[in-house]
Amino acid sequence: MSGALAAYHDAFIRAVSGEETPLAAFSACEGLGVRVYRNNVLSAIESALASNYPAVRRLVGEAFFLSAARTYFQAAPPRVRTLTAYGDAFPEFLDALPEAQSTPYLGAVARLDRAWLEAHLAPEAAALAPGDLAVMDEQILAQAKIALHPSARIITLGWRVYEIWRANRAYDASVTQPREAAPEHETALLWRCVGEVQSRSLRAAEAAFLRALAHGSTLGGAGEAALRAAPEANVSEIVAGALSSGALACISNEEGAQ
Amino acid sequence: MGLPPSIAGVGLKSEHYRAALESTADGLWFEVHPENYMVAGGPRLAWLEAIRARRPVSFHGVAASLAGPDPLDKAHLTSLRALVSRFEPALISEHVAWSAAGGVYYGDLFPLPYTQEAARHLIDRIDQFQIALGRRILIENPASYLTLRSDMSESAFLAEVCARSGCGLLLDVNNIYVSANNTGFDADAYVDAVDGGMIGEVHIAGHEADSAVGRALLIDSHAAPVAAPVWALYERLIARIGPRPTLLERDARVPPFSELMEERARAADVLSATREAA
Repeated sequence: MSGALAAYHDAFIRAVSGEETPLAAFSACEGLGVRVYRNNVLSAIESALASNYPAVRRLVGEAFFLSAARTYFQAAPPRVRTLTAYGDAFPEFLDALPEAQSTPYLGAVARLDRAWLEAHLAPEAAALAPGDLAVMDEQILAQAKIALHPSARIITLGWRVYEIWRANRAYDASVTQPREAAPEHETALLWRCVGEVQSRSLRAAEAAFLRALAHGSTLGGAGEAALRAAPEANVSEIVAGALSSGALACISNEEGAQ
Repeated sequence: MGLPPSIAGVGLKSEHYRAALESTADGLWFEVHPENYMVAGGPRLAWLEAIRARRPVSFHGVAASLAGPDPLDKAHLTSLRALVSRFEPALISEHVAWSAAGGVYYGDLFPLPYTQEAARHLIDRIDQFQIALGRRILIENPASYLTLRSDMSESAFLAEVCARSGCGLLLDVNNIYVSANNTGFDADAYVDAVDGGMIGEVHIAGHEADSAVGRALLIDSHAAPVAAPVWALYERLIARIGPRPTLLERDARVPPFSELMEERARAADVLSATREAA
């Protein structure tokens, strides 16, 4: 494309990006109107990030969030034609944001918001029910590979923030704000079950068990991984808990199902 | 396919999924922005599927950027085609606007000057878009906040684009009112001049005065009930062209579903009065 229309497109983008009067050749009175489009863009960006990172927003307040959203937009504008999943780099952005250094665990809270969104929007798949394994021979069972449900996200964080995240996600004034986060590792599982996103903080053995399954281990191998992470772990309890959660999917046997 | 001309629909909001599914209103239909459903799975697709099983649905796209500088976005077209084949919308519409440049999506509808060059550009891209979807689309007149130097009026521009691309018009009466106020044309004359044969759907919605300068600048916010002068324009249009599928849009400060349905009933009254008069 060339000519006046291309020049107009270019000038309009410069105008909404904050340049003073790039549209003079195309409009006699640009100021007022341009402000509306500029505000609309920022408001679309801010509301997409606010709906995708509600716990972060509640934690930092509206004014800080708006300013962070504007800076993020400059750094990582949307590159796809829907804002439903906008902000995939927002957690890393918050890690590095100088204004956020007084709340160094903000990025960890953002990672949980992100995992919630991913679980919410993930593809459908039938979840494994406890009864599905009851009919299987124990030896075959140990060789079975059980994938996680496509919505399941195992998130390891550098801060113990799961309770803080949950409280800020609840939109419930009666939920008391937990004390400051501790700089310790914490692993959480988020997954979607019957249309609703579920979440919980995982003990070390559970985390190791689920990660092993996610990496293609057999059920037996994942049990061994759980014991390596915590020798005192009760593996059959972990298996039962994982089965009843709905966070596991489709089963396949190493040598086929014979 | 198509929608019954004498029945009004409402924009489907996630807050209203259950009420929308359970509504027993005769002939009710819904409109959605397909971009909100460009996801792999999850509850929103499940709700739309359940609602679509009972009701006609219309797709009102916001991100094709038909008047924009970038080539049509292949990934967007692929997602849209998949949704069209899954939900079989009764109508597909888009905007006379652009929203992406240099690979960046801005999430708003930007204006274009009404020049011969812009008309040719838009016609060419509507043509590509209709071929990609294998469907005729409707294009919606924008809400304008900026007066751009143009060769022709908006209504003449739209008439030319529709005639030469073969698409139809989604006439947004609130946008006419807002743009007339903001850019200084006569809304009644616009409504009286538009060719009724092009119009496949009508939108009605609420606007509000700009928080800084007041009514000199009206914002197409979809955050309020339809204003009295917009109802008057709507009645004027329908009295002249006859009934058209009419959609009530509400996107912010969303009231309970029952309240939207009461507002929709007013549009239904206008449509049935015209049908009886005809």
